[in-house]
Amino acid sequence: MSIVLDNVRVGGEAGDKPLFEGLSLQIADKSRMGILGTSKPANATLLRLICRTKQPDEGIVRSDVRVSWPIPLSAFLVGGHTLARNVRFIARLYGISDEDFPRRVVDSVELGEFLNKPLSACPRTAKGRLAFALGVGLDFDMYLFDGSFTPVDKPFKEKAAQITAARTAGRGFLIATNMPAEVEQNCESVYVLENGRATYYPRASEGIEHFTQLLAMEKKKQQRQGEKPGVEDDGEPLEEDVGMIGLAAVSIVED
Amino acid sequence: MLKLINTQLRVIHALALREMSSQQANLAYGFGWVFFDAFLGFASLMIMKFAIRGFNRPGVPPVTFLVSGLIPWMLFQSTYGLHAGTIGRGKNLLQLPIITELDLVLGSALRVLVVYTILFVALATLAGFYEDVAPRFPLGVVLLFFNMSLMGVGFGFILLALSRLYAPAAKFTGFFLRFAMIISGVIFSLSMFPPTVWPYLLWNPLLHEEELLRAYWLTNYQTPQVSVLYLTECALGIAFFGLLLERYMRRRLPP
Repeated sequence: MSIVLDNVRVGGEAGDKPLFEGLSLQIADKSRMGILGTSKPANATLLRLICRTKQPDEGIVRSDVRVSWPIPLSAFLVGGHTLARNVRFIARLYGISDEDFPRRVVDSVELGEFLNKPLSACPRTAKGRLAFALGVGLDFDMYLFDGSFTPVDKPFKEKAAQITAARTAGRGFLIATNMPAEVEQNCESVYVLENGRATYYPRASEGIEHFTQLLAMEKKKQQRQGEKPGVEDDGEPLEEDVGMIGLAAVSIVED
Repeated sequence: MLKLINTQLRVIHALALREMSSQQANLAYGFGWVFFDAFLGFASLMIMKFAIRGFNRPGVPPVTFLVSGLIPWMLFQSTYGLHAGTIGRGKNLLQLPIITELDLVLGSALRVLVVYTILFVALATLAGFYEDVAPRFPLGVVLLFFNMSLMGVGFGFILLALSRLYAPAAKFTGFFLRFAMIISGVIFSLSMFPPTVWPYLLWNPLLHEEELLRAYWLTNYQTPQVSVLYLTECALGIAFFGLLLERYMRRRLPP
């Protein structure tokens, strides 16, 4: 059982360079894989391709494993609905008839007291926590994480890491991120995204090393672009330099 | 295969429930408007019927005539017109791998079907008491009523594909369907038209639907040349072609 992307192409926004061109990768089930890419939109798009919520412009995506949505996706949560109602909707979708499921999910992220309150009336961190709890609370063969394994909620981070570790034990997970630290501790192997393609590193440490160099190069280029003459104080480029800066921007994407 | 069908039915059920409960939460703008809209349409056509006696056919109870024509027509109209809006509103839900555009549309169509079935049963019961008429062949009436929903879903997908290829298509179809109400037997039955135009009018499957509905309802309702076989062929053809276009749109014509 595996997930296969073969020669995939995904176009960029309105005439931009494609996000992926000739992208091929294979992810076995129960593998603990990291995907390192400097571009957040490209990482998110790759996860959407893997969980089949986006179709490639060209190429083939095959999957015979039950994958989660990119955790902590929260777009499907409705602010006006109670936490219980939001959880019940997901439970119905995935065929969970257990009456206690909403209570269990909400309790797992320390939101039990808000179970019957509308999401919009809960503390700011509740949405992220609930999205995380729902993602890891369901049974999947492979869990997909976008950016980080844990919500951006400092007091809850440690507990979230424990929940993630417990839920993904014996199953596969995949994280797409631009933060090597997330991959370093948890992943066995890595794909590095570069020029719209993915390079496989069977040992995570090698991939992280290459990606760190990529990040450094990108940073240098951004600094060089920042020092470019002809940019006025208000941040608006002079008319004669617009074309040149445009080219510089393209070269960053190309690298 | 059965597992996939079971999953899809579960998803449609969950989406329909979510839509219904969202509308009930705001009753004045939800079901309230549906009933109000139906009542207004019904009342205005009743006034026309009584004011212009020529519209009435001798021996045909006018209220039952309208109920059996108008409510199925409104079901069709509400169903074919919901596709683009439902997909637009459900963009966040489409980020869940288990939900497709087809599920969103079918969930919404199910909600519309439930609402109009309640309306149909309520008004038909009232008309039955008022005019002392009971359906001659209730199973036929029920099947034809559901068939209206099926044609609405199929026709809606055809319309959606056309409007994604050529945006103003939806406008043209809107104009055409207003005219279609007159030639589809909602207000005027086939025998009210001169026999010379029958061969042309009978291309319209909705006219067959309306005429058959009344023929199955009223004992002495005579309708020339309509065909159950033609209607079935058209309904299955429209549904098949609509679903075919939905598959095509998923990959080639994203919203």
